[in-house]
Amino acid sequence: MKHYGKIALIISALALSACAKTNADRFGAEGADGAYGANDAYGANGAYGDPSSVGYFQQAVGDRVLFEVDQSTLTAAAQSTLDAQANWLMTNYDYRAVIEGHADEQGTREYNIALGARRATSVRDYLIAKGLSPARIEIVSYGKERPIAVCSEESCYAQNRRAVTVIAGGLSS
Amino acid sequence: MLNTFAKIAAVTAFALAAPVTSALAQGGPLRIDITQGVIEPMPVAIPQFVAETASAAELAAQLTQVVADDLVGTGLFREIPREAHISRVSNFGAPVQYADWKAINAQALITGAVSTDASGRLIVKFRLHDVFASTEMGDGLQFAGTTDGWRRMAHKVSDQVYSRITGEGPYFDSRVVYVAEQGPKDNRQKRLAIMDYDGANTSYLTGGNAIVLAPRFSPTGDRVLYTSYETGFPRIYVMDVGSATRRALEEQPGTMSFAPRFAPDGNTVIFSLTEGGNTDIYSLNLATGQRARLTSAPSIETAPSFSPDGSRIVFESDRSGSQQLYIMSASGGEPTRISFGAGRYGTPVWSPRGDLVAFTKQNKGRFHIGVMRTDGSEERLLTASFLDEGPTWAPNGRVIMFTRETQGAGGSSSLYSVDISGRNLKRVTTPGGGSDPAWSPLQR
Amino acid sequence: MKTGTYISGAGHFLLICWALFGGVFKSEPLPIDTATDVSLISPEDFAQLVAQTAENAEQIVPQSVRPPEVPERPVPTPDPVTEPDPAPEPEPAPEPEPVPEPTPEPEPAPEPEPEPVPVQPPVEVGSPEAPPSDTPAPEAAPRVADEVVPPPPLEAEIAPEVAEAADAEVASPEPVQQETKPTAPEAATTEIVTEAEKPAAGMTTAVRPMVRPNRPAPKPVETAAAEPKPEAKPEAETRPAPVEAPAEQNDALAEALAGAVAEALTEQVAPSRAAGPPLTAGEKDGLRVAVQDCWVVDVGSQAANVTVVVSMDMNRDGTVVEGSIQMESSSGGDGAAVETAFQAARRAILRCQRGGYPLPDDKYDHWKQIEMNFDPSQMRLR
Repeated sequence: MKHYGKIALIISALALSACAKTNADRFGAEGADGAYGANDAYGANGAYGDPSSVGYFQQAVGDRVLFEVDQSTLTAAAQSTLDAQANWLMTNYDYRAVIEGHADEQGTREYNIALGARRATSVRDYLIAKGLSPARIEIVSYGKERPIAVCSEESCYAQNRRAVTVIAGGLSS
Repeated sequence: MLNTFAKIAAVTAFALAAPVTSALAQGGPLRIDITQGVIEPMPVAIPQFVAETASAAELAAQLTQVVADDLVGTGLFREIPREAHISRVSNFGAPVQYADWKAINAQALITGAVSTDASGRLIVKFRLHDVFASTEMGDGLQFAGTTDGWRRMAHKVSDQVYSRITGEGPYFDSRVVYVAEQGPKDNRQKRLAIMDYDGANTSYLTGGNAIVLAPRFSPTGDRVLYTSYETGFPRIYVMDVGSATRRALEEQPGTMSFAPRFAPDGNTVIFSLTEGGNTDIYSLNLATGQRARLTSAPSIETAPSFSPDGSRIVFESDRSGSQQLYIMSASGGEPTRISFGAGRYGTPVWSPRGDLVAFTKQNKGRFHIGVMRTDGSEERLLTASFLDEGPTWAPNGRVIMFTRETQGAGGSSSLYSVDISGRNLKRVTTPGGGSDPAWSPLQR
Repeated sequence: MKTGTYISGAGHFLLICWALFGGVFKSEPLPIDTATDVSLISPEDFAQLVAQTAENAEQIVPQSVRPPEVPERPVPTPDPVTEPDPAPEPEPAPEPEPVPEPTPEPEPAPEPEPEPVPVQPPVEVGSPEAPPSDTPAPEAAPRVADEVVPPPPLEAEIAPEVAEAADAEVASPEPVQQETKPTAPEAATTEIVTEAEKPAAGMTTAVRPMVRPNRPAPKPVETAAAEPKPEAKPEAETRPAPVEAPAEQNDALAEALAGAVAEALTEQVAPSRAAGPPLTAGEKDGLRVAVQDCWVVDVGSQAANVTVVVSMDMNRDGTVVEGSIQMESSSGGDGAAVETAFQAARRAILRCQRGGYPLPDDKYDHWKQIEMNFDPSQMRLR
């Protein structure tokens, strides 16, 4: 009898920790997708609510993934975002995608173009591995030429080290 | 007895050796070693060029000013103000009173004359004098040309003066192509611009509706290679400077190309091509259209630059895990790493003199422009700031121009130049912001 | 049996003791940094000093015998002399500490002398690297550095500055001043610090050079350094001494030898010719410093790699004979670079002659032809 208390404690602890993990995941993903730059989700891309609209893709699915300094490998958060992107693209098979790779300003011009290309390619390769047709996905790199955050600190750099999946084509085009 | 004699003989031989050597040392001229000097700008006197025809009066004043600005701008000369001059030069042909110029401590004197002839052509004459030797330095020269080209003639005069006094090659009669920038950091408008090396005569080569990057001159200065996003993807183009007409050099779908440079023969272009996410260096023969792949590695290879004799290429690669500089034969092959210091190295450019490579170095959050010998030795850093990159060499291999960007949301890019000794760092004035400068060869 | 055991036991015991305690009796070489700093005084002071040597000898001699001081001296001196350019800064640092230690003891009497050595402070002004080594010098006073002969190689290192180095070894019996040139006056005051603030020497103070070295400073300093040497030679002639001894035994030989020896010593021995004695190192240095003041070196140029030897004829008043400046030879560089280096050298000579270089009239024969070697290698970029 006296063990039940302990068992109950242990079980509740486990349960709570599981909850915490899930919560963190969700917030993490949303945080990464927070900034939308020039893309206006409510404009020509259709209402947020329409799950087949580009707006939905940008806001709910998340159109970008972030990278570590000098890295082009996909983090776990990035992969889960890309899973969602892959799903959306498989469902909405009319659309094509252009993956834009970007880098932060802490590097020389040409190298950053190449680095952006690597990042975009990482994303493309992952999406293809998920089953998307290569013909639907193109890559481009902007190097450090198109930052979305302009302060010269890590908080801005982190936002600039990104690969953005830009949707094109589909019924609306 | 024998012992004593032997001793004396030995000592005699020894003693006689001494006077012989000391006598030798004693005769002949006095020898002095001078190992320490001073580093200071040379005071020169540049009295206003004489206007030999009335119509040339204004030009004479402007020409003299350009010559003075060129020389003083190198950091190696200091102009003695006109008010201090004792003599006046009112006749180009009259003999020079060296004593008057010695008195004001002018080490060199430049006299000149400007005139326009009957057909409207501009004639510019000059003489350079070594004041303390009381003689002319080299021959006086005369340049003739259209009135519109007066600045170039002024640069020709200062080139003559500069190279005679310093022994360095000339570089004032040259141009710089760069990217003119406008607007905030997250919406920057970029277009190709070309100007005289001192900032005069700026004109624009592209419209500004597409990002353009890193232009480079051809060996004769008549064409420019650059990267443009006008198709939505970075692609390399070649443009004729005179007519501002351009054509794309790489149009393969699924690829991106950038960082194009000319070979010294003006017919081969090397550049970076990204295919399948991997970036390597390729060469393109402009006449035949033939492409060749020069590197084949899963790492990033970019920013190549030819040696002046066209036999070798220096480029940056991160095959070792971080950006470093490598040299390889112009036909490809095994590259040799030349950078080994702490930090990352990029944007290498081979000096026109062939002896040095200039580069951008990043270390501990700072950027530097530096130079090293082509074997990687004697690395020297010339600048340090938040962001310096993209050096380009003056035609004489003595001065480097580069991009400096300031930090923060309000940051902007400007062009700066620095002497190879690290001295005389200063901003190059451009109408707006500027980046990615490339220096032309000396104009003929 | 027992004897054997005893012997063996004793032997083992001694062996063990030696193994355990043998090291205790080793004397360790004293730390290098306890160096006696040698500084310079003016010739007048030295003359005074030499005059007083006899009186002070008793005070000095015992201390000079001190073994501890011997090893110290050789060690530090090579550093300042041989490495003026690389990291001059670290060297001065250790010197200030050690200097006070040994010096107060050896020179109680001579200490008053250094006061007339105002040359030290000017040196500090001119060069960032110099001061620390020179500051303690006045207290250190006339380094009557030693009765012990410094090893010849040491002298050789100092040699480049003073032509008469070969004679330095004669110092043995006499208390001869051994001058060690501090690095300061010769070192690179014109070290270029780029914006990168990373000079090869690792300087922490980002000094923007383009500073003319303080001219007056090196001149008296080197004059002081150089002059004592030639003056010392006549006094310390150990080599000629044995020569003369056997000569006494044979008159004819003695005359020949004496003649030969006299020739050998002509440089130092007084007026055997109408030309007068050759220039002292101090006078040469005066000329050198005068020309240096006007020698502008463009350190970024190719001419900075060129060494030129320039010859000229002089008038009696110290001015250069018009048109006599010629290039004798050059090394490093080519064509234009060599010509530029020559022009710069010529300009230096002509600009600084002013009313005439400060050369002694009575020694005119020795300097009516001069060859100057302009070597910018110490000023080149690192």
